[in-house]
Amino acid sequence: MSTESVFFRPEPVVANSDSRRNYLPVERINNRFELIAKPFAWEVKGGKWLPVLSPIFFQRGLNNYDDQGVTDPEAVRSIYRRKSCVCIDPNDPRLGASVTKGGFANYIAAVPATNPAFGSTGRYYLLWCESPVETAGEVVWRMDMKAYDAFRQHLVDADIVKIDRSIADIVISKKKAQLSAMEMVPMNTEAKVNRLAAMKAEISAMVKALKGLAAPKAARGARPVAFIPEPVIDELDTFRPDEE
Amino acid sequence: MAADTYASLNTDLGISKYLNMSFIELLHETQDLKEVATYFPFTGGAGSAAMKLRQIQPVDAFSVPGEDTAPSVVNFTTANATITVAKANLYRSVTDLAFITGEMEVEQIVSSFVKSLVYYRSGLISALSSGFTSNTATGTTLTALTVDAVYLAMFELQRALVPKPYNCVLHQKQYSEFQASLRGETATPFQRADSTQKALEAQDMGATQMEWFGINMRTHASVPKVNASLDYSGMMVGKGAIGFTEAPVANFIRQYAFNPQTLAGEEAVICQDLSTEAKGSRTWICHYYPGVAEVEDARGVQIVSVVA
Repeated sequence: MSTESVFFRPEPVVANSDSRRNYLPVERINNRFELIAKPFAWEVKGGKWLPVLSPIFFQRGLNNYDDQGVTDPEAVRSIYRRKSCVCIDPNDPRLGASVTKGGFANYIAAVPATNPAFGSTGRYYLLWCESPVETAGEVVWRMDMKAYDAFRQHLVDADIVKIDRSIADIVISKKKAQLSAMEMVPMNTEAKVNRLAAMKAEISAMVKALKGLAAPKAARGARPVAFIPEPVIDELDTFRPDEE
Repeated sequence: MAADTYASLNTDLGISKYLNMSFIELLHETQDLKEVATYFPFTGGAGSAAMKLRQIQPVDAFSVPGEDTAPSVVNFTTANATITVAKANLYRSVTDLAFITGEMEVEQIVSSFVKSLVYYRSGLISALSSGFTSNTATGTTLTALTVDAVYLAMFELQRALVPKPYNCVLHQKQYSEFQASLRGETATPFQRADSTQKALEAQDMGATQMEWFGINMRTHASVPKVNASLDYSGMMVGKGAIGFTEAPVANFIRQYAFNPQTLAGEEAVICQDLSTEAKGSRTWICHYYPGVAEVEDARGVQIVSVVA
């Protein structure tokens, strides 16, 4: 036995670490997700075209994630790639360093969470730039929009997602179609008036931001294909001047 | 002396409160989104947990090559989708003493399994709402849902040739905003149609199943959040947008009879009642093998509105 002295420091007796842990109250404990960029989901913010990102969830039993007996994110991603979406893999080297080191890799984060209705606990997955704050059972969802927009801009700058004139034209055309449907409705509430004004402003900003966009070129995700009109010769045989 | 009272006698002759035997359920999500998805029967024993669905385009263009000209062969346009089942379960354990004293009843456990299963399955279905790509998402980020967004979603599906009826799945907050917006839709006689009246008068938000202009309006608390948790992502889908299946367990149970106490009340659910003698407890496990997947993207559209 060692003759070296061992010192014991009394510690206050408190509840165990589990019960002291803070859990974020959420409506539903979600599943691991990643972001995708849909080909025509774009917005203009500060004069820049930024992709509107959507989550895809990785959960056994959903979209073939449990593939051939093992979980396989690629089985899920492939569904969306077939639809010209760009799946933003958090480990993509083009995202740079990890979010903890100033880059955008590993952009998915998690916090310990609970569903108060069930008392169940688990992890709630969110983006690194989200910071929910709980006060007396109510949650304020804080979000570093500047960081999020920088992330979206990086996706464009790093050629992970692609915007060009053709895509922008289609986005604007779809927005205009929705606007024209709205314009047929009587503007009898403030919400409608505001919404219509916002839609017009959004389209106007998009048109203005067209200037900085490159002409279409082959890229990841949506691949624009230019069609050159060719003269149609001899397809219609109803009018042949030389036979008259 | 003062008279004997309830209070004075209670200590020796009474109990502080007697037990009403009914169980009053706390608030929970009751809506089943099963009808939103299209059910494809799963064939057990066929060698795979994945089921391939065959899709075929039945319509092709006729050609008019001329009376004395052979036409070109037109190939079928085909596609496929896959649904893979995976196990999900809920595990409860209750001591014998809890049963003996009447604090718990088996019926409560089974009822809880079924309701939890419905909640789980509906969560799988609603998780697909953020992935629809072909049709332009309606609604606006950071803005409350309006009746216009629901109309626009309907227009998107109509334009994509999706036949009615549609199913619209919204978060309860989105649905409340839809109703609030409907209240403002009084400018035209059309908006005063019966459907609108019913939508405004709908009760019992937990299990809303209301039809509005050929759209079954539904709510679910599992509607996912998008745009960095700032928006809800509801959806409107036609039949065939989402497929779901459940691996049947009846044959498996008959073949292996692995536990004489196995209950198979449902075709797709195994509830195992196992006794742990050393502890004097019973464990109840509900196994369920569902699979949910997007089958045809163009049959659905995302509906976005603000969370807070």
